[in-house]
Amino acid sequence: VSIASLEFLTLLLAFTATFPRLPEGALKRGVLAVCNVVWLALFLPNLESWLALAVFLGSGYGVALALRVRPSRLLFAGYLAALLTAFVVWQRYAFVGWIAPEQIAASAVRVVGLSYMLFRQIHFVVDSMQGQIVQPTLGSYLNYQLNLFTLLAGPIMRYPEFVESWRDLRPPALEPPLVMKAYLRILVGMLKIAGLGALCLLAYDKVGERMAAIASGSVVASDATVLGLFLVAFYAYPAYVYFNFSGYCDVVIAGAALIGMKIPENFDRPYLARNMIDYWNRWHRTLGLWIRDYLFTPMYKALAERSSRWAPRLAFLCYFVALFLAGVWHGSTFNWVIFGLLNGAGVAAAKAWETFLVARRGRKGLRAYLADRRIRALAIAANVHFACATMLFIPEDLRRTFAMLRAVAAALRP
Amino acid sequence: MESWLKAFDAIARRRPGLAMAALIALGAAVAILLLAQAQGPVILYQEF
Repeated sequence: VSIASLEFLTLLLAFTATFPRLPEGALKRGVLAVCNVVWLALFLPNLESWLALAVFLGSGYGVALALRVRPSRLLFAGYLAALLTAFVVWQRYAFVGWIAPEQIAASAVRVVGLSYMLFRQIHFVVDSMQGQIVQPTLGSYLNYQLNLFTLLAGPIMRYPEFVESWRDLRPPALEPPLVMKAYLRILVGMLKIAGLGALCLLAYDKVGERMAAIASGSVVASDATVLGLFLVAFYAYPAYVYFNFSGYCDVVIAGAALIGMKIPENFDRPYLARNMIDYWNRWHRTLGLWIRDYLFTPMYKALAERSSRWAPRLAFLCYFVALFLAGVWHGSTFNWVIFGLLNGAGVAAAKAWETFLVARRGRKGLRAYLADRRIRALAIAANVHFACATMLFIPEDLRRTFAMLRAVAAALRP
Repeated sequence: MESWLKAFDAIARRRPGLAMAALIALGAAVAILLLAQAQGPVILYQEF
């Protein structure tokens, strides 16, 4: 099932037009719960996958309840280890094949959106343990995890946000301008995915093929042509990723708003970020916030408590590790390791630069630096190019990326 | 809220007919675009 298809668009329009007219309360929740299961069934291929999903979600709910009653670090650590093990096996991470028996590595389990479920599950368990989630119910928890609007690719909603909408499912206003605005957003989202994004991907593919041919020597081109082609690929791929993912978010956020569900925004003009820390607050925002709350902060707090003298230096390490792990989470192949390393290095460098400026100019000097418009423009230009460079490693086929880099290196050689 | 959504909101409040016409035109354009693609593009982040 493609989100960017006429069938999906028709279904979404019909659903959002009829659902708000149902009576408030249990009936509405029941209809949405059935829709969630039907939507999920389109993506689960076999019984093993249903069973795996039941264990994955059921264990999360059970452990969260147990930890709410009696917080235990040991239980939490053991459960987290088991959860992550199941995740890497079911997601078929390449290294699993090296260390696990063949039957385990070749598991038939395929659960769509498992990565996003993992984030939601960890949030649910941690917040339950800390007493921040009160009186959850199995029904609301399952619908939170399997919510059709966020099942496939987020945004990563928090449980309390979901429950607030789930209770009422009342569209905030059926005022015509607001409804029209939501439909406009759905259509623009579709246009981003199927129009602008698809065009950018086409450009990248065409240029990538040509550059691979140049790198192999089967096609001859001038140095200027090679550099020009590389620049097209360099900008086209990040543009494709942005249009594709932000377009998807436009569709699901606006679609959910029409039935009375508030899904958090996921983008805030990310290519205008002035450094990689700022970038991760603007790009896939809900992931950036999750990383801050469940990776960076606990890691930094634990290390700083043990060694307060080294705390400032440990911040760089924690930034690096958090973003490296976030990069690796994106996928099970080697390209994501490079993506993670670059992003980890980017945020650690941003933090190091800020620390350097504070040491040299003081807090007041840092504020003046941040307020300077010329410096801001330069920082944005530098950062957008670094972000684009990291995205060269998103395509799984690294041969093409390295062929392009080889061709550029040869063209730049005196 | 994105600036283009704000702009549309302002139009929808002052000239609802015009906003509806624009919406219908955009809807038709998107439908043609989706019909023209034999297979819809995948959502990149869905693969992760």
